[in-house]
Amino acid sequence: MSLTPSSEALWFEHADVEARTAHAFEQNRFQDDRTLDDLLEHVADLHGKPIHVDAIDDTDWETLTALWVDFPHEAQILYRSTDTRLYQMHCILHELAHIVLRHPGCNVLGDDSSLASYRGTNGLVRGRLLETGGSEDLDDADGDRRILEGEAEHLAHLLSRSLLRPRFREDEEVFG
Amino acid sequence: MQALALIALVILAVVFVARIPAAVSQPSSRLSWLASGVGSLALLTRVHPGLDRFIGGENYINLAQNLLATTAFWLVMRAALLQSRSTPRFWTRKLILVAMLVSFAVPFLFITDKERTSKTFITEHITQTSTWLYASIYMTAILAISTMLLLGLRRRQARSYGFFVAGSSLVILACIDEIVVLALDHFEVTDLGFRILLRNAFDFLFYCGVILIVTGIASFTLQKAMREARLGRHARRLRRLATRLAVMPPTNGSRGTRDESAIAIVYDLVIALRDFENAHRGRLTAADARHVAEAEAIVMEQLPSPATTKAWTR
Repeated sequence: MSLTPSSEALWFEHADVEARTAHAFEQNRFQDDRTLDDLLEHVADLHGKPIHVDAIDDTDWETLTALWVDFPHEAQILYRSTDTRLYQMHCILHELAHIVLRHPGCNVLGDDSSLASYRGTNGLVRGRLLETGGSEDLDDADGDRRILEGEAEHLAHLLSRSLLRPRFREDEEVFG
Repeated sequence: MQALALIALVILAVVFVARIPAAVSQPSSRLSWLASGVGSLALLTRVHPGLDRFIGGENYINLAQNLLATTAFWLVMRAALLQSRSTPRFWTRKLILVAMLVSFAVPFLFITDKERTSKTFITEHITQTSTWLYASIYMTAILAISTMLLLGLRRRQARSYGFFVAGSSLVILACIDEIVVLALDHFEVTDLGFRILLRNAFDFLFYCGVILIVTGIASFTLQKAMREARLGRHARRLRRLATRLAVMPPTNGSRGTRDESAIAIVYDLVIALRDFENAHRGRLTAADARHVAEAEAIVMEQLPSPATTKAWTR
């Protein structure tokens, strides 16, 4: 096993981030949503425009795992078709979290050529970009972006709790 | 048939004791838990009629048994029906239970010469109209409750409900059989051999039905315990792996997530380990990757109808 100790955490963590995301989760009653479709519909309502979710086959997406492109009349979430289903779901939740938290677009998305086409549109772009942990990478990382990404990641984990329940939970609560 | 009643009693008593923690922590599980307790008492009076001497020795044990059995069936039915928004709530009203209990307790009080405790009390007194009404109304009450239970479970998807459906179907058949045999005995129609055959059929159908319903309740408890054990095992394994790779999920130890369920812990660890790989911070060995994939598969199993998630099936 080749091992690179990840001395730097992938996601920004702070008590304020937890508090803000927990507040957003409770305020919007996301605990009532049972499926990803429910969550999508809920977030689209909050955002005031439809959200389209599509898989993408682009091999240039190496450390970028999902992308939210916000157009004036609709939003699009792209995720990698090559990832496992659960990881895809989490990446979608991360982008939904950005929308819920009303995060702005982001210009620092690495040099992936595939992104140029999205930047060229009239949409705002924000992506779930993983930092490799190298010193250059970390030096380049803009502090605000790390905070916003940390918030979205934390809220994505909270959103997952709405879906992560036994399939027959109500039945189990009565008879289990 | 005493053996079947004894088996049902043992299973019910085990389920009652095993579900005490669930009943304490989960209010919605109390009805069915109480049903297993009341059902155990009902079966205890069936396998140990000698208890009659503590309540006067005039076969009041038979009445107690039927009152307890009706209550137990009604509690199971109420637990199952209250969960469904689509089923009518009429039968789940407490007044309905009281009306049922009173409707057969009253004719019992009119049965004469019921001194000696007997396992065949009903057969011995069936010529009396009060006895016939008492036993027939009791059977009709169980028939109605079981039918409501069966109808209430129509759209349920959990496999454990298969036991409930099979069990309540057998109980319904048993009740119909007993109502017929009570009428035949009371009016002394057909030969005795045929009636004995029908009586024996009742015991077999009824207790097998009860055992199946209790097995259904137990299977929910068992499935939950097995799933938690599997998730706990995966959580421990992934935690060891994450510690070795210095990977930490963002929610690890954060406020509000300290009392996480095992499934949430496994989810966070899987995502953190996948991020670790995707960020090119390191690679998992084949064995480690297999562990992560297995854990991921278990989490996937629990997601609500992933196949119907429109956004995610392309």
